[in-house]
Amino acid sequence: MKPEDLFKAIGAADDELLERSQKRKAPSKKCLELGALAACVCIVAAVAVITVKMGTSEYVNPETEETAQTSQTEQLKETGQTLPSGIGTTPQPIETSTAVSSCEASTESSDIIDPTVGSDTAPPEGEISPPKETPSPAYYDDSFVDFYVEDPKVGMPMTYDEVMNMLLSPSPGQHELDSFYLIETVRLLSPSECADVEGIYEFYGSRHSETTEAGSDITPAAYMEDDTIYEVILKKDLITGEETNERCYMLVRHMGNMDEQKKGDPLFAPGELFCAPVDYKEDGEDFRKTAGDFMLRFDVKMSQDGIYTAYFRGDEWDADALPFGENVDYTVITSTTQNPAHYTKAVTLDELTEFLIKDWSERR
Amino acid sequence: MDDEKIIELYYARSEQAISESEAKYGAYCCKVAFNILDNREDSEECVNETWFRSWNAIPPKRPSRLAAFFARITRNLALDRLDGVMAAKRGGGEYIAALDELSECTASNSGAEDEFSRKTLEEDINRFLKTVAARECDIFLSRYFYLETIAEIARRYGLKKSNVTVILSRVRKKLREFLIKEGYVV
Repeated sequence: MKPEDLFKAIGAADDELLERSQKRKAPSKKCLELGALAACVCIVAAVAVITVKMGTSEYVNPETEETAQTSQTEQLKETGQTLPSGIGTTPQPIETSTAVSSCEASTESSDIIDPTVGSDTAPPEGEISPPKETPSPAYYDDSFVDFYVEDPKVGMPMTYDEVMNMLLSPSPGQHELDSFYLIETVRLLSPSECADVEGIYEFYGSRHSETTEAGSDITPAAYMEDDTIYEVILKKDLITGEETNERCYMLVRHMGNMDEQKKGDPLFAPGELFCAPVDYKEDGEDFRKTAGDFMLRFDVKMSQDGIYTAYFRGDEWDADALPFGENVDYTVITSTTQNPAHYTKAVTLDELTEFLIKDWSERR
Repeated sequence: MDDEKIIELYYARSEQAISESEAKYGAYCCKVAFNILDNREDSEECVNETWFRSWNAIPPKRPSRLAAFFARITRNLALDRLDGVMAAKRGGGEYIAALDELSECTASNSGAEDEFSRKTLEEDINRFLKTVAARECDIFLSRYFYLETIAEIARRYGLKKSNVTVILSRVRKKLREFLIKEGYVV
């Protein structure tokens, strides 16, 4: 039997099933608004509790504060966004990590806050300490709640095996996996810049040619849906250990389109580190892309004990499905957008690398 | 105009039946054809042909669900047209991607067509679809009947694209197991 036979046979599906499949509509705005409102109430309550617990131990770094604020404003201007009310009036410090040649560094500050406990004391030995971040301002716009109507926490979790099968046995037409990289963000490209990256329209274009031909007013950001393009430096191939320092455009899959990410799934600020599997660049494309959606993408931060640690954003995948690291519960500000990310898994970069080297060599 | 009235117009041999069909389902059928052909002109011709075929089919047929009836005709016409289009190496749209995905379920291209009747396969596929959870079935048909993109499906169902990909992958796996059990795939 050929796939064509199967395809034709599917064409004889019952009218009732066909009609039902087309009747499904996205969740209504009203539901989303109610969900977002409920989320806001919870967050405000949580922040209030944390603030009370923290007392006056808030961490402020005037140098980074100014840099981050300028950067944020520029990013928003560039992408035609306006600052939500309350944002920009109270700048928050943002970690602007620079290049790392080693995955370890010394602890440099004692006034660090664990947002979950409101304490700057080191965690018990053997446990991963929280990232060096400051608590969230009272701002949270849960604009990507619609992605989680089935399960507000994890949606439809994939297993680690499913992800690895997807990465290591790409379907026809999919890019081939290169390696697992430590990546430093240089900047976020604006929608108009994204459109100019060679190969982008070809990458998305054939599926959306009808829309573009019609000359609609869809912005490149919406056009690319849940993908965002950064200029980045691929600092290190963590599998081979090679210091690559390759500067390139990188397509990173977040949740929601670029506009939604500014409010929901935090974007990476300039200088922030993350690690992810990366595909090979294809002919005619001037960009690379992170592989496996966001399922093996980790924010990399220096933890309180000075170790570079990979943190997993818990809303994106079921942390229990990751066969390494330890479960944590940290809510932190990660980017210029000042909205929180919730980390549910943490593993030192060295441990993660060690695991992947062994696991990938066995699977390959 | 509701479907029942449109069907009455066909039965009355009123040409208004075609204009009403076009007004209500023209864009919908055009999308079905476009997803297969990836070409606007060819898609429009397919849709025009759909009204002609429907004119000849109703009566005696009295479709209970007009949208699905038109979609099926359009889909078949678009697939027929695609043979010529493929020879000229243009078009294909989501069709090629869908075939790649479905090849997971069929194991090989060995001349199995002689070993089963198409009619039986169609019935078995329908039987399979009724065993799958409603949402999985809907997503499967959105992809492999209507050839909607993963992004379109994700948007409509309020899911992440990766969720849609996983759901499709799991249904394909179930379908493959079903086809093996039924003796279609060895």
